[in-house]
Amino acid sequence: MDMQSSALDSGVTHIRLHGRLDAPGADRIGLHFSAAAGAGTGQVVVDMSGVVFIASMGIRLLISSARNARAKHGLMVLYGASDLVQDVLEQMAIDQIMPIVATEAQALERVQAAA
Amino acid sequence: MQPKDAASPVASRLSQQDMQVILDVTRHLAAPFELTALLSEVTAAARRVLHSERASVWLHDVAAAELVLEVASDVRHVRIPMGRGLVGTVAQSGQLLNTPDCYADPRFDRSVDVQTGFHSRCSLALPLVDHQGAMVGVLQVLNKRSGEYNAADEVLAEALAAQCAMALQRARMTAALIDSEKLRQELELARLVQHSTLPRQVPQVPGYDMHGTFMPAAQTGGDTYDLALLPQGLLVVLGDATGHGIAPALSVLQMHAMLRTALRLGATLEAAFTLVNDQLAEVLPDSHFVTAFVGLVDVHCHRLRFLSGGQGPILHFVAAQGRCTSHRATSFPMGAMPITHLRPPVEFALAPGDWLVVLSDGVFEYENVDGLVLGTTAVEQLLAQVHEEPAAAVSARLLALLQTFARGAPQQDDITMVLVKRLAVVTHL
Repeated sequence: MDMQSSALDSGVTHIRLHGRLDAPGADRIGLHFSAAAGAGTGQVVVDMSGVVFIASMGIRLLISSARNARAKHGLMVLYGASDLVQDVLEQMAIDQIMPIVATEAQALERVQAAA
Repeated sequence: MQPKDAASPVASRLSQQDMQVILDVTRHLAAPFELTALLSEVTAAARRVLHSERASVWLHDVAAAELVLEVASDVRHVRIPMGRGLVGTVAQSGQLLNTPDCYADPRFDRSVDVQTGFHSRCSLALPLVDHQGAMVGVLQVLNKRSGEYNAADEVLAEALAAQCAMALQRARMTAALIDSEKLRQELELARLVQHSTLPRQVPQVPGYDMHGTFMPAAQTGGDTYDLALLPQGLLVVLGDATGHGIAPALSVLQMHAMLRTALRLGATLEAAFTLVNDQLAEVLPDSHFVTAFVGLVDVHCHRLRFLSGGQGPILHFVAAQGRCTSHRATSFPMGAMPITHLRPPVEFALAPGDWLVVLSDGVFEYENVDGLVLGTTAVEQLLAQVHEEPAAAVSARLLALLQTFARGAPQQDDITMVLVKRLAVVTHL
């Protein structure tokens, strides 16, 4: 599991995840992810297209950061998830905490609309 | 400067008087099991035996490739890289270093003197090597009260260093044992807390067969389940708190106790669920939450209504179709945030032969030796094959399925299963 983060010109934090977001994966990127997601204004988009598998500990990491974003009056939006990953997120109703959309443009639109 | 092999035998070169001194030191070093007390004993013994103004122990921080000054009377936690200064040179070479004039030696690092105001005149530094040959630190004595350190001092110092290294290793092993004992006690407490939430016996409900299974993993998480007959109906609960240890066990205990209390006080399913969620959202730390299925079966009308916070999939085996219908969670995991708009409960009839199957993620996410997870399809296929068997037998078959699938891969998470079957032919138990 690895990740890259960057600050977009709009002030939105962009995070790209790659690999298996299971317990070992969440352990590996946990601090880095939380720090990156919590660093900016609370407007965060996460590219999930490289995530091949997600389990409960990975979802815990996403929820924790989404809560922090909300506490800053921001929003975390996921995009590009595979059908498998999207199904797991929807099974757990995670889409009620953070929007899950198809494309980066849609994700940026959602965070900017919430600002 | 006289480099020496630190591992050379010393006993034959010690006088009886010197031996007595070392045995005395050994006796002193045998008592303390706590690292700081032990290091104080070591430095006091080194000053006494080697007639030195100052003694210090530098411990090897393997991860940082540094030496950390742990004990000296006036300065602590100074760090130097391996290879730097007299002490760093000893740590790197593994050899004793006798330096009669510190300031004349280009390897001498004056920064510690600058920090402490102490003036180092002569130094004797030795590696502390454990019984496996690993360098665990450096013992240094400074400023012999009369002249420079000689060959006899080196022999004494080597014997002392050998005792120090052994005592150091013992103190570290003791600390590790204490840590593991604390962890063991915490896990045991978590296990007791978890078990206290489980029903002592499954309710006997005419026309129904039900079974709960709870198999905690070694590093326990926070699963629980409940099966209880309440005025509102048959309560079916499966909860799973995130994380390991006592914290999730307590989270799930809170969830379970609040839920039971609210329902016993007459709350509706919706009210109880919202109340518990919002209470948990207030008290749980950011990274903690509880996935929970809460269902009520009207055992007279044979209808199930459920709300599920992050617990999914929920399987309904439909006997008439010979296959499962899968339901998603109705809301996010409990405690993740307050509920502002509760979605309505899922409701369906349990026809004769139908099953409600609620399994924790420890089942669906069980990973085998190839890194594959069990998923839902294998469970649904098994239910289609064995649905006519009693609930306890089907639980056993699910566990057997996991064992076969795992091919020896260890259980990483709690496994919790709640099965409720409406009997095909009503029998009064």
